[in-house]
Amino acid sequence: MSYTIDVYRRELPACTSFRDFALYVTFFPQLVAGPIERSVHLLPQTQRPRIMTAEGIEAGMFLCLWGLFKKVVVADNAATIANAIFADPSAHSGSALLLGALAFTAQIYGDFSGYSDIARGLAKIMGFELMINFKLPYFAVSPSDFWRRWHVSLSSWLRDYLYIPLGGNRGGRWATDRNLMLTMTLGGLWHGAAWNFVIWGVYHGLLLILYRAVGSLPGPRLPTAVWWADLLRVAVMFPLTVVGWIIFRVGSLADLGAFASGIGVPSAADHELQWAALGAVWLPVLLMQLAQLARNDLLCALRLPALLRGILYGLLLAATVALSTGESNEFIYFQF
Amino acid sequence: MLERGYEESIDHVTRARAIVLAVVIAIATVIGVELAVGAWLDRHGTNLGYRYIAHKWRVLGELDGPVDWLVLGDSSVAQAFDPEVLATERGKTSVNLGTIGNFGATGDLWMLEEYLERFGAPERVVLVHAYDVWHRPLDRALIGRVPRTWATSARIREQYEIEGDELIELVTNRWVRIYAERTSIRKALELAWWKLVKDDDELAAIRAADRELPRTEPTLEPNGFVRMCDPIPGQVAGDTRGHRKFLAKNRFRLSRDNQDALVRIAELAALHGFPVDIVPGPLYRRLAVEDDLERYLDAAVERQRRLLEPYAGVTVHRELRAFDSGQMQNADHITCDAAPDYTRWLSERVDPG
Repeated sequence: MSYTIDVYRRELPACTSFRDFALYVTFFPQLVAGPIERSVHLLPQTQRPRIMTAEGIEAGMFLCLWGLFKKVVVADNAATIANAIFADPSAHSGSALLLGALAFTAQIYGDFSGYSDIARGLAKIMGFELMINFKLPYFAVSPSDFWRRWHVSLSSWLRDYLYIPLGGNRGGRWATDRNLMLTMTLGGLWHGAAWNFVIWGVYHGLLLILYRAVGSLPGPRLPTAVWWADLLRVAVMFPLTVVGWIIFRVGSLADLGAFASGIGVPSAADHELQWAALGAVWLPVLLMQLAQLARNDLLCALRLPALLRGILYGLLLAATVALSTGESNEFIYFQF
Repeated sequence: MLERGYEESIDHVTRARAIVLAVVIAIATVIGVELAVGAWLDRHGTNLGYRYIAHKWRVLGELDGPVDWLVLGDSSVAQAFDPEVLATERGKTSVNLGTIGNFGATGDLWMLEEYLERFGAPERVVLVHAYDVWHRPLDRALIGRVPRTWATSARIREQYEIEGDELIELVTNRWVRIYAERTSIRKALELAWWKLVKDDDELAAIRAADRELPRTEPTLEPNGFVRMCDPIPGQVAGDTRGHRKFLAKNRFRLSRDNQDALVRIAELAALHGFPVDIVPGPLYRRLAVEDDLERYLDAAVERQRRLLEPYAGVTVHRELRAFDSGQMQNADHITCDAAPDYTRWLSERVDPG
């Protein structure tokens, strides 16, 4: 679809080589679950000679290892917690529901960003560049910032091929709000024909509209580029993201009701082990992300001396082997 | 600060040599983790069977002189025979090398061979197994847990026809314990967490509720005795039900692996001139008097006696020592308080003089 539109828009000449086109369409690392590559980005790479560099190979290896760790250690372990709670939300207490929501938040990030990293890593090793799909999304300071960081290849696709053709923000406030809502609702539907995906899309559409509305109000504002103000913004945005994931994950509207009525209810501390396990598998991700944040570089680990890089790779590999659940868990986004 | 876009940078120069170095260090790190985790599992793993195997082979390896009695067998004897008691009451030195049932007599044979090679014939060899061990084939994957270089050799692989999935399991059991024992790693980490945050009573309740956690922690003594002191009557009752089902459904048969190992042990006994006593392990009193058990045991003894008849010095004992549930952890494992009783009974049974 991207190819057809790009050629129609004359952003890309039609490909005359069947072999190059076939490689573009069937490029295996991203074929099943993205990143959703634009033809203008990937197709030219199939047409020119690839250059495999030492830097690219090591970056690719690191991305594969890091992605595997996020999938096998973070996502699969978080899934065992989330699945048990989402299977019957009405049977769980407020703290358990919160645990389930956070576990799914970790699971879906670990699962999908892990897959994207592996896909990008494999491509990098072979001399291809796929677009970055995740840019520390849980550090987002607003809904629009979240969508610049989460599943970037889809959100930018929706922006360029849906939101902007609908008129984007050029038609005034109401038209912009309508375009946002339409785009996000269709983005939700892209995940599947189920009510919770529609509600999830609408929810994110509403968040975008609400933040725009609040942002346009007169009055004092939080300063920008100040750490404590950003922290405050993240502290507001992150729970909103988690609420979105509850909507995304529930099996029925009744389950959504059980979450809505139960999650805020104080309850005795339980599931201590699961809380500890979730914290333990998330900690390495958090530490890595803080380093990435501080260096503004998603590949900052590659700047470590060779000795430390080697130890890091070894620990990631050992942890992936030792802490796997032993169960076969398909990537979540394979179904979309 | 957070509004900036996050990009990837590989603008710094990486030399191929540095990549090779990083990969080599990564491999070394994985090997280091494997060795460290293995050593930790040998002492803190939740798979007690594997811990017993590691401990008993270590005890055998560290043995610095011959002993009078070499006691071999499964975990039932590991918890039942206390060499200290034998030394005090009979003045005999001994070592308890009982491992786990799924090794059967093959594990006994391997330990005996190593002992003979290092020290020559002991005064006596005693084989103690629970009655329901003899029908089991050797668990090939377990061979990987024997901490000896020959355990994964071509000779062993050929002798026990280990190939395909069994071979993969054997190799991972031996060389990739971080994968093969990931359940034990996970459970040991969980246990470590519980120990930090729970008191003794709560910990006991957690152990009781989780079948993958050992109910109590054993003390593995340097003479091989496994000291387990807490009776678990509830587990005895549950385990007994399982034994009854087994006895109702099965007639005795001797597995090929156990048969071959017994014959080889008998040959070694004849060659080196030492007596071998095969004795049943301890059993729950109520189970011991049941007809099905009597029938099964009769058949077992009859079959073993017939098999080993040509070899002098091998005695297959029919009598068994029974205990109450308050002295047991399950239907065939006794507590440390009952171990002196069993040790005394065993020593009198095999050497009345």
